[in-house]
Amino acid sequence: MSAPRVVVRKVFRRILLTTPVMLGGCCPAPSSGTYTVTSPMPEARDAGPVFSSVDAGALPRDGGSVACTSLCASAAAEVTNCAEVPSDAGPLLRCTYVVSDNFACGRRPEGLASLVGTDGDAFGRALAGMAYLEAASVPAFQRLAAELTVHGAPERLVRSARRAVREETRHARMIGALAKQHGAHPPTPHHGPTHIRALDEVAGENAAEGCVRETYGALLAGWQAFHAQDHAFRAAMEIIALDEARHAQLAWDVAHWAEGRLDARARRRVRAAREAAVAEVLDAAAQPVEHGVAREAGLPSPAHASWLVTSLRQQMWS
Amino acid sequence: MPLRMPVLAAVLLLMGCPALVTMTVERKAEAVIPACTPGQAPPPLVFAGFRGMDLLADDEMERQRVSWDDVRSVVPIQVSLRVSQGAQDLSHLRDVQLAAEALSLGRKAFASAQALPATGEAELNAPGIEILAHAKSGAMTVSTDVTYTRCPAEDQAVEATVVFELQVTGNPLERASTP
Repeated sequence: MSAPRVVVRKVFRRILLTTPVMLGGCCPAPSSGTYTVTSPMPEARDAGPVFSSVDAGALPRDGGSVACTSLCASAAAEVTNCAEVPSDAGPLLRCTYVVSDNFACGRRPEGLASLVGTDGDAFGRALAGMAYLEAASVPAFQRLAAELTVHGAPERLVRSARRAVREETRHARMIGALAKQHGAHPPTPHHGPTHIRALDEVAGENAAEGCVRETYGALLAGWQAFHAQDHAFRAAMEIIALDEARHAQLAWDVAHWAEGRLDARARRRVRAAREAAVAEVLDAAAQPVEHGVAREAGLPSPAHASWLVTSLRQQMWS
Repeated sequence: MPLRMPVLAAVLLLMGCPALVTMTVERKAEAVIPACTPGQAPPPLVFAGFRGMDLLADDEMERQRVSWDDVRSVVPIQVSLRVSQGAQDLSHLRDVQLAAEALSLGRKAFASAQALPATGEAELNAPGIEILAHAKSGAMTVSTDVTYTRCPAEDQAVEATVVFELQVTGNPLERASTP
């Protein structure tokens, strides 16, 4: 007997209603890096002790005697730590940053090449990354529709996949236009393989890309539709969030349908694929996104990312 | 007994073990070191073009139909910095280190320089560190550690160049040459 059908919107509603004021998280960041700068201690601007050693991970941003963010220039990066480093020439300040500007989440086709650095400002680059993923999910849904047809899935699922193709095309166009306004030009993703795969392979990809990544992305899109400071982006996300919730539902419906047609071994492989994707999301969700991008895109603070992902894991992924 | 190794080598050759071909990929990226803001440390040295790199997203690699299954080794063999705008002086930088990063993989330093010259160009020491796992992630970022001895008096644009050497099995090259 297969598990009961998951209703994505009900779960989203339950999570959002019990969410703390600020949620956290972004999707696994295709690009991020840790940068360290050591420099002579900046001159104190105010009287009193402005700096003492700070333990990694215990950044006292508010209410503390030290604020790394005020000492470490952070216009283009998230300050994660700072510390005093002794030297012969006097104390030095060591600032550690994490830079990540990709937050989009969605169904990636097999063999998708990562987005190589684009032009534009930080928000523009983030939008270009999102448009790139939206465009990449078009062939992913085209392939899913073809594979569902060949494997005899209900017409309702095939129609939903075809509808998703049209919607993702529209998303890519909308977000791509916004990226261009910010000086970034999203590249066109190269198409990967299109051959029809065995049902267990289709189900494995659907579990990772649809039930995990796309589901998280849909929840995040809903959050962004409320919190984005950039008006044009927020308007786009109001449309996209509804579509993405449908795409997430499609993923769960496909999973539900496929489960009954797979043997125990194949079901274990599908489950492993889903768990690997969950681990990837958990690992990456806590990565900070550049302040300006997070504000414009309405991204939640990474400090609570684990809470959001854990909620999904408890309610949908366990 | 002494004959065993040559015999084994000959057998392996006859079995058609694919030969490795060396290919290079050069990547350039630019970062701006701004003049210092009073009361603040200089910002991180972020080479935007080195973020989320896929070394196979390269004309030659695509022409040769190289996939990550064909790549056996990736080593940065040459790393340099060049001032592209501003004072031709890099001596305000020392202990510069470039590292490969990728999701779920640790940071792996592959090039460094302890002191940079008072000229507009400098070569970093690249001892031949293997970064295949990072490169294979398809979204490798090259991040930097840097120590400033002082801030530049005016904004300075610096271009970094990294040459990666890839060991690729011969098979894709043969495929590409097939009409």
